[in-house]
Amino acid sequence: MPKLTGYALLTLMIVFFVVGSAFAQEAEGDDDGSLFKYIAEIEIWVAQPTGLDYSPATVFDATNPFFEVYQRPTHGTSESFRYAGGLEFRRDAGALMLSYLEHRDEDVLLGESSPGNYIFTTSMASPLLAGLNDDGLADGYDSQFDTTLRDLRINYKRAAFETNRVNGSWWVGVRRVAHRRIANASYYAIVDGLPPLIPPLVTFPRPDLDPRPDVVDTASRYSGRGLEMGMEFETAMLKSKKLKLRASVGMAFLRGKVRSEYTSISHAFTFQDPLTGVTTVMEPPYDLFGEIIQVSAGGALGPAVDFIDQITVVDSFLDEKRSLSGSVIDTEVSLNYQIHKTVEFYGGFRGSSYSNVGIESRREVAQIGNQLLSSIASEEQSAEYEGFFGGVRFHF
Amino acid sequence: MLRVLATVGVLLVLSVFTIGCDSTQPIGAGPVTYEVQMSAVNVIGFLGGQGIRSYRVWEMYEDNDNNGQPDDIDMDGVPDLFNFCRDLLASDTSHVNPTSVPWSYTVEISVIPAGTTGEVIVSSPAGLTDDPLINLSRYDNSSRPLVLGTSQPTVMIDDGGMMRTFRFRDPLKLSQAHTRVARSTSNPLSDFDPMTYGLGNGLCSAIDPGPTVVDGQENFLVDLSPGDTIIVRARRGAGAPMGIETNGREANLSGTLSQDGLTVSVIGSASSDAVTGAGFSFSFTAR
Repeated sequence: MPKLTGYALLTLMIVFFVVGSAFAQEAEGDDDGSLFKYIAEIEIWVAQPTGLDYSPATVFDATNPFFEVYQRPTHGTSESFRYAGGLEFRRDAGALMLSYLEHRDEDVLLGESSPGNYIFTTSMASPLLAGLNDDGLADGYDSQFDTTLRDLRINYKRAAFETNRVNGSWWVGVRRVAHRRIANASYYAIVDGLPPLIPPLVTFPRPDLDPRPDVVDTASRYSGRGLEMGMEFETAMLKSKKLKLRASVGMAFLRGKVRSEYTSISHAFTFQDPLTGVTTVMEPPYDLFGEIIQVSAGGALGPAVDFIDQITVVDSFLDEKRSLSGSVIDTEVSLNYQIHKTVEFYGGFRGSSYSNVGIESRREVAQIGNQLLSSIASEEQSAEYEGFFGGVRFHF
Repeated sequence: MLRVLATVGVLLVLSVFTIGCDSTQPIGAGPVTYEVQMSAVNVIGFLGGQGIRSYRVWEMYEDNDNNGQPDDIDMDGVPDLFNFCRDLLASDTSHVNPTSVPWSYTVEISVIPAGTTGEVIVSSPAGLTDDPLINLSRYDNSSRPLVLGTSQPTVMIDDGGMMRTFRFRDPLKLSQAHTRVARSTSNPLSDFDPMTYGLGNGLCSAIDPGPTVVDGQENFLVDLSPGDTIIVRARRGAGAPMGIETNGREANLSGTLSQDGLTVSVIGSASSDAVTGAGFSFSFTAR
């Protein structure tokens, strides 16, 4: 026997409630021959996400170390389609609707450079060995952000009250929200300022010693579900009642899990002492790059750079199935015009706030004495979407 | 109808507060020419005989047919000019002004176009082995007679037992004659006696040791658009230029970046220590 989940039970309860309600009213008379009508909606929502709080870097003011300016990408508007369909029951027995929305805010780019001026903090990178000079500073960065929202709703809506000026209705339902945040950043040492590796110090170029950028990849994938409820108010704008103004507010409480991934790739220069064979990680300011050293026990001299290498250091972790309780608040105002008894156009403005639907994890390193203590810091993230929408609704 | 108008009005007000427009102003300025001036010069006073061994060189020629023009000795259709060298350390230093001696160096100039992180090399390193930058122009612009005791316009040179007479070219302007650090590794008069005329006073090689460098400086012109970054990397030669003997004093290498004659402020070091092989690098981003 298949296992019934709580949401399946809730859905069944709503269905029984609606059907039962319809039958109850049908028994009271005023029957036109069918229990319900179909409703289909297609809608475009040009929404702009805000509050995502991506920040790949801060600008560091060398003259005032306590003053930093957060750099954040600008998220433009992008259109998304919302599809809905359901049953509208006769004699004010309410409507059962299923809707699906997917909003993609992809390829949002943010990059700056000030070659030679190390004023950008490598905010997303692991602090260990971050930046050319291991000080968490870069003279340029590129970052990319992708945010995807998927929102599936099943709800039942029914009239609550009716007056001469305004009609009110309520709805309850279930909601499933998936929110994905992907952020990538690269931090550069565009002008490294290292001693020039040109003749006569070296005979051939050493592109392998060009400082490689620190690269960070992060991802947060949230999936949550929960109950939702709300109210809608409607008032006729014309005597014919073909033009109506609707305003609604709703909220949902989500229980979900989030999976976060983090990978930070840094680099370091190493020097293998030609006399002892011991390899050490070099520390800034890397003067050894331009020096002539003794390279053999016999006293022969040679450039130290011949014994310098660049290594890659990877810091990566995965936080899987972490519980995270979220919530959604929707507000909406729209004008609806019914041009035919089966066709209705509508348009308006909608704002949806998704709280705690993602986390941002970063590596933190604290130094206590000579000990470096590493930890992972996580912060819940939210998202808000707002923008105009327009659509068409069919009743048949 | 009033409710309709009121509603439309409210929506219009909401639109004002919710609709925004982001724009980025285009960069309109065009490229500007910047000049990189490299200098590896050591100013030597020759006080007390200390300094760098270098040579003053005059051009001279044979005129066996007495037509006042250089003869074509090697019959290649081109009149032949020879160099007469005089070792400055062996000369009367009281007549020698402080001089500048150029040093060999390597310079690499690259540009990072605006909005990118990759370098584009616009000037490959000047080779130290093939074309050392050791030429220099006059080191002494004072008017002085030819230093052979007299201001004679001719000189006799023993070419393997045969005395040959050379005339100095335009002796009245000897003081303006250019001076070279000559690379006298061969006898320009005889392939069979290569070592007779090595470095020192007398006839020296006419071999031009490299590209012309005025006063020990080399200039590079680079066009930069707003946001472009120029990186200048330079390193001194591994040793003294050929034809120059140091006496514990070496030149430092320096560079400047200028626009319309005005030096701009750069990031990094623009000069090196006066140590063999020392280098520096600096950068500048055009605004």
